[in-house]
Amino acid sequence: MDSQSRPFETPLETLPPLAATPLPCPHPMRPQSITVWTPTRILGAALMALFTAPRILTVTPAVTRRRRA
Amino acid sequence: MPEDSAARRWLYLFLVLASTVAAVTEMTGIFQVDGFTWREIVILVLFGILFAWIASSFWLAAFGAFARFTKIDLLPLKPPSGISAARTAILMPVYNEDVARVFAGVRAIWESSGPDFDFYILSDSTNPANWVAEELQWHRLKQELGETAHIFYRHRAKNIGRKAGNIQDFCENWGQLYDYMVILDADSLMTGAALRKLVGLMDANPRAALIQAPAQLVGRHSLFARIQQFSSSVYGPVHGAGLAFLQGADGNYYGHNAIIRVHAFMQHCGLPKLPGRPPFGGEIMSHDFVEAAFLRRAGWEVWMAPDLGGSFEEPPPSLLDHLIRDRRWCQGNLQHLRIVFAQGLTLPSRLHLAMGIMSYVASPLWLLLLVFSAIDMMNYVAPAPASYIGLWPSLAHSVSYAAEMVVLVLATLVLLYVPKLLAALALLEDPVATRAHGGTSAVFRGLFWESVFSTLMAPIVMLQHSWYVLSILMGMATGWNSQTRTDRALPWDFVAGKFWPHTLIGVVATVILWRYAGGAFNWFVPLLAGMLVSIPLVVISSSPLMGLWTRRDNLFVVPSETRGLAVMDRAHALAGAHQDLAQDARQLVLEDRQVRDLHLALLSGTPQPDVSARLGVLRAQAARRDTAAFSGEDWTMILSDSEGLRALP
Repeated sequence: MDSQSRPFETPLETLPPLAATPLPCPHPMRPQSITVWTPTRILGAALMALFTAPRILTVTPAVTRRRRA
Repeated sequence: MPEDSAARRWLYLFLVLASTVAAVTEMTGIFQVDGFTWREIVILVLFGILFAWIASSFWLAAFGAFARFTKIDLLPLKPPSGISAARTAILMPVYNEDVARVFAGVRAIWESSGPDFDFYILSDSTNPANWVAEELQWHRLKQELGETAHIFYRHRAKNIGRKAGNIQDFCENWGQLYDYMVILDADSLMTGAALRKLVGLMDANPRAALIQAPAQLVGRHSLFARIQQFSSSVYGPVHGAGLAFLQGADGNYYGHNAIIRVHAFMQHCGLPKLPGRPPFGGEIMSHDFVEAAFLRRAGWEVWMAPDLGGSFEEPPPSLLDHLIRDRRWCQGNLQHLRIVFAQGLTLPSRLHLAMGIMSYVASPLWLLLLVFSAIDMMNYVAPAPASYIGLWPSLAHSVSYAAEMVVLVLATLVLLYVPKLLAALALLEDPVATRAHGGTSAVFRGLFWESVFSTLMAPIVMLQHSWYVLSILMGMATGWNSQTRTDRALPWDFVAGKFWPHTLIGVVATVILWRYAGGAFNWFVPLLAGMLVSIPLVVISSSPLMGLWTRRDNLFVVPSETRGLAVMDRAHALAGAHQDLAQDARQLVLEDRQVRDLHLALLSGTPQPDVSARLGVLRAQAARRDTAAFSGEDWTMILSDSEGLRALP
């Protein structure tokens, strides 16, 4: 996200003698997703959290991975 | 800093909610004496929603006035440092616009900004005469300004995705060449100083993806436009300050007069098609709010720069044009019902979308409130002064709720009109700005007459917006028409043809309320007056002569009129000096070799139309210059036919 970084430096060449635009440098824009929160999705997400959260929160004993000298 | 904005927003929401709860409690007290009827419950719900809506505007203005009076920094970004090495494109998407005006605006901005920027006129014009005229104007401008002027022109054969698609097409083809792009509207003007400041701010603040420069309304002369310009100039700074103060980095985008970081936009602002058919499905019409929400969703900052200056646009010349534009915006904003609950959006983005929706939905709700209130008043049964319980007389003591009602009405008036007063007081703090508005007396006279005008206009807009919302809910979609941007006095018969329903509704409502509402009739007078005078109000306010008359009377004066505005004056002078072509621009392609060569050179890349029997006939007619019967589609086909044009004698 550096404002100074550009994909590449391209001189603005124009097509002689009457090009109205610089040479195109095609790069598609991907459509972004719009997934709406419906009551079903909210319920699904809540259930998913209910099942996954305890597993994530389970405390497991620490394991030393360092080899003994 | 983000924590500050969040705290302010919570305080703002609390104040809106507290005011609403207080008003609804007062109203409930009036209704509950003799028990609730279902009508009263409906009235209470509608009243609560609408009171919250006007309270939100009031508190926004109150926060804005606070920010102005305390001189808080409304754009807490790092200041620009040094000369920018960034490459910035200035984009002007056009769609069947007044060609002379568009190019006059581009040239005026170019002259103000110097050769540091690349300009793109991105034409989606479907009118073949506009298309060719744009090419000729572009060529003339290039010749006049010389090689140092990077002014480019691109015409799309099909306007897929409308304005958002036009910008996307630019990004996909040339976006990689630029760090930033400044989006303009066909009637936008920006000064070089403002553009350079925006670029500097973007350089210094790498997390900022978009900075919106609120556009001040300038440059029109009709009475309606001058009133809008006055409102924008007097109320705008406080409104903008309120927004900036509350939004922080969670700002919004208004579709033009904003600088955008191209790679952030390209990465996160590709618009999907919504499932289903228009008006709720299909292409996203009001793309700007959605793009700002997407940028925020991706973690980029979106700012508003209310004190930047140097950012202008022209208002619609008449109420009719204003309402025509609103039809499109209404559909676009209602479409946001499909987006406001999208996953991942930030709460402020959802609030922006919800407020955009509410700005149109408020009208039918207000209309419903009025209808239910009128019915309730007409059905009011006063308690009998005496009745008998068995043999014993029971006297009814009449209880008056006039005081409570007056309190509620006063509270509503405060919410509606005090923001205007606060804005005027904030303006009067600055003697230079006050003089530029014609002096203290002119500011207050303008405030009074603007309030009268907006009060009369409100019921007309309410009826029109209600119809828009209803028609959209019934599935009626609108197209995409170019806007009328020139001052012209609307003829009486034309306006009568458009606004007779408003007048008729006003007449019928007046008769019914006069006959059945008794003393309650007076409450409805301001609303009825607006509907009854809708036709003369629209005609008179569209008049440039009335605009000139009020200007001579030092009324609705704005700084661009008293002090001049170089970039606008230059654009107007250029447009005024423009000489229309002696011949139809389309015909010139056939008859003038140079024009045809220019057109063919610019046509490269445009898909050749399929060779069909129709094209064969058109080619033959074009060769004979027999084009009198050509339709718009025929002209588009023949002007897109590079093979046929090359073969012309």
